[in-house]
Amino acid sequence: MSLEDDLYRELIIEHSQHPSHRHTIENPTIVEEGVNRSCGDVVVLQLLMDQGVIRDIALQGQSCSICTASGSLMADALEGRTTEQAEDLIDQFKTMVVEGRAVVFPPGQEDLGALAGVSRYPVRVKCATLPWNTLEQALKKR
Amino acid sequence: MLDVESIRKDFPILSSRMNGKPLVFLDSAASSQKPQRVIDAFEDYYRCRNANIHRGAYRLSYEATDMYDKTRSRLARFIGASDPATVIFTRNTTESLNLVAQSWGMANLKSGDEIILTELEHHSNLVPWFMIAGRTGAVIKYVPLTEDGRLELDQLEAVITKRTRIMSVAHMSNALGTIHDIVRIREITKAHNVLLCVDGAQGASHLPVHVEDLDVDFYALSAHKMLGPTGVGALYGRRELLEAMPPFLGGGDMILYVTRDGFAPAGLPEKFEAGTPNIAGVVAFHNAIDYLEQTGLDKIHEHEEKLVKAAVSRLSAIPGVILYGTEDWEWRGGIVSFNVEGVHQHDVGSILDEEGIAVRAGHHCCEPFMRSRNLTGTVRASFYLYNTMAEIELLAAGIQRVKEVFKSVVRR
Repeated sequence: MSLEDDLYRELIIEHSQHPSHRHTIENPTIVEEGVNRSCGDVVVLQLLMDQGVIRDIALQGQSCSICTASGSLMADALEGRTTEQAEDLIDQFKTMVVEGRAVVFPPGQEDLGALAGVSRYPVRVKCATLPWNTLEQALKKR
Repeated sequence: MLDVESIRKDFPILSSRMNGKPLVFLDSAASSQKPQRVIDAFEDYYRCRNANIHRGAYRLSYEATDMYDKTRSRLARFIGASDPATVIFTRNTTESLNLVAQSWGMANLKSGDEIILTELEHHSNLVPWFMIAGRTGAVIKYVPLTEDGRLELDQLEAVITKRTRIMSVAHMSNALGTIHDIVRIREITKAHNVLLCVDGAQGASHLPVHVEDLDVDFYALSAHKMLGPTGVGALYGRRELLEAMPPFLGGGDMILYVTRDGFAPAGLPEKFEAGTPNIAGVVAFHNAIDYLEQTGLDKIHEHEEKLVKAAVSRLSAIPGVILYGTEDWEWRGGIVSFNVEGVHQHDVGSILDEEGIAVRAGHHCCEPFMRSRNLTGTVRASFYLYNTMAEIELLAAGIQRVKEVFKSVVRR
């Protein structure tokens, strides 16, 4: 086991250095800020909802590579999905990262599996979950 | 010169491994490691000497009280306080500073009075003052900082007004390692009748301190940064100030007597020590002070200066490493704060951790300073008497590893 196989896989580094969905949504339906109190990472999530579907999703903020990559992969996976699909995905992601269990992601969302190794680095689990917790809070506001 | 190899043998944890690699502990600014004799004293207390202090009519309690008070005298001598009763035991530096802010502040601050701080302060020397300012209507003001994180002391006089009552400043910054010129700050504040409170969390552990020579009004410290146990701190205060201050926490031990209508507080130091304290920790702290004094704070400081110079020189030679803090070594303690360009400090911390190197990554409880420099944080390596030149080489190699992991990946 090495850092590059577990934590810093190429896909993760790629997404951390070139995160997607970094734009600003003009009239977001929901805006939610998430902060990791212990490390100071900040995620600002914007959602444009339309009849229960995430039409657009954008992330701003300052965070480490794991958090940035996790947010980027999350946004890629969720654009165009329904809130129910989003809630299922949140559960699946946490099962993988928090509980360390194997998860099979739906087609088109398999990239999320690149974060599976984070579960072996307890200090970093909260980095990976921050965007997802922020999304969870945002969806509760509907 | 310190015999570092022999010192290292006194600290059992330093021969352990982390993530399969020998532990390189570079986070003493957060909490120092403990020598065997401190660990032994802790165990010995619970095994053979445990009893509450100040109350038993039996020998064991009398002896526990005696050991507790002996540490107070030992600490007073160590920091240059001629009267042990002016040294109050607390839980940590944070509690000591809260004691000053709450007790002195509630009794003395009025709306419009001013408190002077610096943007480089630890949250524990900011938040207690914010809290008391909020309750009294006092105003917080800041001494400006230079680009390399020193205080613009030429401007201190301009910040002080007739309403300035107290200045509170760290002896040494935990974020950058800057040592502040307490002697000069004292001259200026004294000339304007402004009290001086010093956050000595890093000072007492790394610099020779003599509170009466420094002529400070308050000096706060933590045992766990001085080779001692966690949960023990102290506050030195000038006697006439402490005597005039109301109690901080109420309860047992801090009273002279209690009636159904009220109470009369005890004298110093008990007035400020409500409830059963961390007796085992205080007793073990004695051994930590002995260890520091036998080694010599001047020698420790000299050793750390050697390490910090070497680390700055070694790290600045690595492309992409950005270093913070003054290079005027007279005013720099054993802390190196840095970032690796394009890599978040938590990622640097994780990769160094994998190499067995323990550093702190983040804002180091100094958010206002980080914000003022537009930083999310830094990576901090901090040194103590047991760190070696070889460990600086390992740190440099670890940073190379960071760069390797984060070499730019071309997007597919």
